[in-house]
Amino acid sequence: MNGAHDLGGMHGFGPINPEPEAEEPVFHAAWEQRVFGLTRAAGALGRWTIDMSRHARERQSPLDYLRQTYYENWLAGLETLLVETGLVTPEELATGKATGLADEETRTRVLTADNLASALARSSSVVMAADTPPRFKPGDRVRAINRHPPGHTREPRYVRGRPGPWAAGVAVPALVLGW
Amino acid sequence: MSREHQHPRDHTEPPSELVLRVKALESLLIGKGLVDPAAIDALIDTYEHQVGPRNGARVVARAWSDPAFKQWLLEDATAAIASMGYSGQQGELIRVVENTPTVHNLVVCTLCSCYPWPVLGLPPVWYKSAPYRARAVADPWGVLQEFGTELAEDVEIRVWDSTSEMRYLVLPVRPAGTEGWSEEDLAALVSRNAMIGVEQAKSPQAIGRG
Repeated sequence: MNGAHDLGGMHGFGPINPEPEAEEPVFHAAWEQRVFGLTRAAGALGRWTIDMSRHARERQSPLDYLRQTYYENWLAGLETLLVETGLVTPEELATGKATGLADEETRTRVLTADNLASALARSSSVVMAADTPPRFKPGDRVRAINRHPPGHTREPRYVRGRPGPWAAGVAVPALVLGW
Repeated sequence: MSREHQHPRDHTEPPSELVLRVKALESLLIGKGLVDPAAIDALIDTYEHQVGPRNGARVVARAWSDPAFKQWLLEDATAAIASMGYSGQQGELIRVVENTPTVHNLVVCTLCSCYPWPVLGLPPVWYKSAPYRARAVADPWGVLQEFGTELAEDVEIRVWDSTSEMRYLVLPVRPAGTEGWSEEDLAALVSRNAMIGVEQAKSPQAIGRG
């Protein structure tokens, strides 16, 4: 979708002002830690893909997306997915009070401190085996399709309609720009 | 000096609406039996204290020291990196791009924050920020200047826009004056920022070994 997340090439955001590497903490507040942990733990329940979680953040109002900090956008996306998948009801989210336990099958998937290491090591690659030969090989000249899908896409606006080399030797395209 | 003298206020600030919202969501999910708070603590500890850019620095140092490993790294980074014990989520497919005296690589994720977690940990705030995501693909020279990185005018800059499926690690140029250094010593020259491509590896002088 043509959302506020598609930032490549936009003007007007000003300087980057990076924190010095040696002084930057991994998290800047305790609530950020919890949002990170909750998002990863809820993701382990297997009810949504990484594309769905990204789309849930991207389809907020552009005004909200740009005004909020990174983990606020994660929080908003998580709340959206929990309700849309039925893991929590809108009423539960509004009140913060559980009206009952989740179903038993879902609860068998809960991430615990004991199974965390094996869960993190498990590959969740989405690269799929293809049963047809690839149309392009590394180095071929291609032109990116100019399309504007309402759903999630990995094709940012700044490459649409543009020519470029097919740079990757694997099943997914790489976006590489030369200057 | 007592704590009261350091913190003269006699009350603590009430938690913000955001903090309350996060606490409410966590208690709701615990109440539903959907999350285990101990797992959340362990997740935070993993990415705060265990997985981070020192992993990537060791990969770079080995590539500088071992030509066969470097070749493997450039051909199949995911496998070469996994051989050092770094693999798993948000690093299922990693490509290493090599800086040379004539080519400099810069990594960004314009759409979000994709980043090779097993070798770099979680991305810094600036990597996820709108200014960096907007400018890295339009004005990479200006971005590098903002990080204090000056390149010769004839150096080609390649910008790699990450996706969830493909994440990038920059192999910086090995600094001069490091012949014979151990991998451990070399790793001390490799900053996180150099592996994203906004800086170059440190010189021996920069770490007091010149």
